[in-house]
Amino acid sequence: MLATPAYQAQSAFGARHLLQVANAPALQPASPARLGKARVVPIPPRVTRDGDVIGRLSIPSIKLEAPIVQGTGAWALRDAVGHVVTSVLPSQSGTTVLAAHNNTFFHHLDQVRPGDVLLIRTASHLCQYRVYGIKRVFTGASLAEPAFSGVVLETCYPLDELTPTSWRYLVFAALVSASSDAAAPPIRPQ
Amino acid sequence: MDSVKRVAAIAKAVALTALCIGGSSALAASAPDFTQFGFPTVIGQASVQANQASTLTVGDLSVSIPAGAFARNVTFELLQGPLSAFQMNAPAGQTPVVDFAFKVLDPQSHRIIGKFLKPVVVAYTNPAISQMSQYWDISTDGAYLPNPKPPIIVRHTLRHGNLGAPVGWLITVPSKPIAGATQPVTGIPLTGLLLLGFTLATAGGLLFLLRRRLS
Repeated sequence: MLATPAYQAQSAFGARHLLQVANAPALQPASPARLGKARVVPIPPRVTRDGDVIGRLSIPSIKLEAPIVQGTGAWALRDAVGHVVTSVLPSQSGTTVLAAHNNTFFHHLDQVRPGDVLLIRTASHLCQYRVYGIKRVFTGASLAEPAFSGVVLETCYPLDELTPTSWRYLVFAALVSASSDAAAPPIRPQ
Repeated sequence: MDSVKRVAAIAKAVALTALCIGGSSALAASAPDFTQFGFPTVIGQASVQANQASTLTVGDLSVSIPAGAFARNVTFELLQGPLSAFQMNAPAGQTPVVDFAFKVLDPQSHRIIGKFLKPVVVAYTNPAISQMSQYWDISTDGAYLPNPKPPIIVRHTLRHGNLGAPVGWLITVPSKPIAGATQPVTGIPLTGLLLLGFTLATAGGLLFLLRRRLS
């Protein structure tokens, strides 16, 4: 099918664009950088809008570098990993839920193992997480918030399914450290 | 009559011997070293005299050791592990909020003491604690087992006495779900793309036919 490679090519192009936005230095409120609809914004969440680039996700074990945008609509997930808006933002206390397509950014999510490290960089923080669990659940299943801060990565399952499925593949990671890292060097997109 | 008395005396001696052996075995019954089974961090330690009461407090956890809980002086360690290690096995609808285990060492024999002469009482105070909180035993393989004795919960403090340390323990509270967490559509919208392709192909075909007709 030609539609899937075309979609993936679109996604890769959009992601490269958004990673450049995510690599921009931390912004002062007086000088926002704009790239179409996307702009890097500092936390707190009240100024974060759907489509805004809020950080970047790195998973060294599967060589993944991806921008994170606010929201999980079709356009957000086409070009980036989306932040589920009912969960806390990265670097905030609580559980951050990030979703992405199984045919693009999270296509190799099943190769992530307990003990692997995840990194999330925002405009103000560098957060390191360690994977502690993997689970498959039905779409719409309840996801309990743990008593510690962490992140959950989510995608459709099976990972090679081309259309939306009834299952979700979840990777759970606990926060190991969070440091103010506004001056972190940019990470080159793949 | 003499034979009956003799048999009774022998039976009494055998019983006392068995009690001494069994009792000391019970008292010295060892427990797993829970630093190797999910509770690797020593968060508190106390040297407990045999006939003195002692209290060990670390954060929201308080351990009250009554006088006479141990037959001899011991080193009492309060252990803890990362909550994430217990999160995936948590019973449905329950979220672990604190975990702990004991490691009671006889400094002379270097053995871990698994049974106590009197209950060692744990108290945990946290705003998340309510009457719906539950107290669990944790086995060496991380399995949750219901503790047979219900805890005493007053406002936001949970108390429970333990007569030994063959297991670790964990306190859970009712889970809070993250709304819509598994709702995002994370498969490629292939149907939409196919419809778009079909529409474009149809429009192109109609345009072609129109041009042919006009020419």
